[in-house]
Amino acid sequence: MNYFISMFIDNELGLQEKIEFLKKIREDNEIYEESLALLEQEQMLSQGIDLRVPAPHFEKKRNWFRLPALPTIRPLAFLTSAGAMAVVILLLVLKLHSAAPANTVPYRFVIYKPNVKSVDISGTFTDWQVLPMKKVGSTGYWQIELNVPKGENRYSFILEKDQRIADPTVMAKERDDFGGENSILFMSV
Amino acid sequence: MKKYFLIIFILCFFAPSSLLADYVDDKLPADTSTQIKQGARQIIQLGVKKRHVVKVTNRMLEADFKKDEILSAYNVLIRAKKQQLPEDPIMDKLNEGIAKDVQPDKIILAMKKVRARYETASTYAKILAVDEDHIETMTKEIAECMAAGIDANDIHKVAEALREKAKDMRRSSADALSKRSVRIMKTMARSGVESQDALSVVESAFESGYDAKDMEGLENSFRLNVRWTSSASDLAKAYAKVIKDGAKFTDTEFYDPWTTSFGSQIPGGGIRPGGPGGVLLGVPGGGIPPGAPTGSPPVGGVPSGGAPGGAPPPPAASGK
Repeated sequence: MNYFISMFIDNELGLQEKIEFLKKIREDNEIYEESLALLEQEQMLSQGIDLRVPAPHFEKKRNWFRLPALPTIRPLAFLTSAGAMAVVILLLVLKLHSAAPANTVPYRFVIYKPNVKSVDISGTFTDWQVLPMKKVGSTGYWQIELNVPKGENRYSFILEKDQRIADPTVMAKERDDFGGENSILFMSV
Repeated sequence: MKKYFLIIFILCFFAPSSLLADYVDDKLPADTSTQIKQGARQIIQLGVKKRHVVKVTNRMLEADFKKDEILSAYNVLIRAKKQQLPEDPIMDKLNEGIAKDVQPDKIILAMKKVRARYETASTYAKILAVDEDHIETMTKEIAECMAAGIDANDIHKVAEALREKAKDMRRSSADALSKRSVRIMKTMARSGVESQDALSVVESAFESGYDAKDMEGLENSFRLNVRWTSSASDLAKAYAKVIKDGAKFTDTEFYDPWTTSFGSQIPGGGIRPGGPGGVLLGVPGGGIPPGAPTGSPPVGGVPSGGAPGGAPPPPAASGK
């Protein structure tokens, strides 16, 4: 059922499946509460990083700094607002550059591992480079958002640098020829 | 005049190899052994992109591969290229092994396994793909099928059966059926179905005269139901059983593990499959088997590999 709840949250269910899912939730309070908890968890994770730029703070008018020849221009305020604008432009440029390249989709990988010191991810979408995942507070969850190319992608998680596991939330798996498994994630763009 | 011809000849003959030598020399560390550099050049000359060769060589050097191990890895690639097999899956395996901090000898063994899989797959693809343009795609599909756990002997049985069927079919229909048959085996294996059980499903489908469209319906149905069941192999066995009886599928039949039958309602969601108002779709005389238990079946469950160690359910990993 957990898998189905995940699919519901990610809007991956067909209409018929959604109907059945809602019926199930109505019948079973436990599943309802579990779904709600996961949705709240999802909401918390999505709000993990606050990218809002703080509004620039302008000090009160200072008469001693006002130039008599240019009564409407206050240099300090002008410099502050120009600086803020530059920051906003810089952020916009950075955002444009960091936007997902064509044929890729931003995808957030999440795993629950409360008792480990590090979780890494490695897969075809990282060219099998190892990338560290971020711990989400003290929740026990680890996450990373990556741009994943369309089509099939193979990957696995690496716990504390030496234990390799497939993604428990992804059903399709294949043997990795090293005694473990890779998860297979199909991404449609 | 002769002098000019001689100069042009020398330039044409030696310039590319000297440029190649420069690239390998430039991009590999200065203290790299001559044998490794020669090996890298040989692979490049066989048609592997020089950027990729240098990249994997550097990764091997960084991962403390010994000279002999690097040369062994090269040999796997050289053999694959000479057999006209794709090098990308083999290089991918090499990178994967390094990322997973696997010992070099085990990485080389894994590379050999991948090459061998593609060799086998290529053999069967040539039998199965009616259209030559599809051989490459079919090779990849079969190799992935085997990587997911399908036994080579079972691939052989499917290939033989398809070859027999193709004799009485139109070229395009036979090609489509081959593709769909391999695809469903791959899907089942990736979901955890044992090779023998996946083979039974496909063989049953052949016996019941399935065409490519029927196979597609079967795959969609399987994809739908495998999300709900705790044993993918049991699900496959149930499919094999009802297919033998003539059942065909779309994506609207729900498997009920309690009664091992298929119905139009989701199990545990109200009306039971095959229950009042429900029929076992497409199966003559279908319904709840005599003596089947009447309790509500377990629903869903985390698929194989789910949250080890009794961990709470993982949150949804989401695409945006």
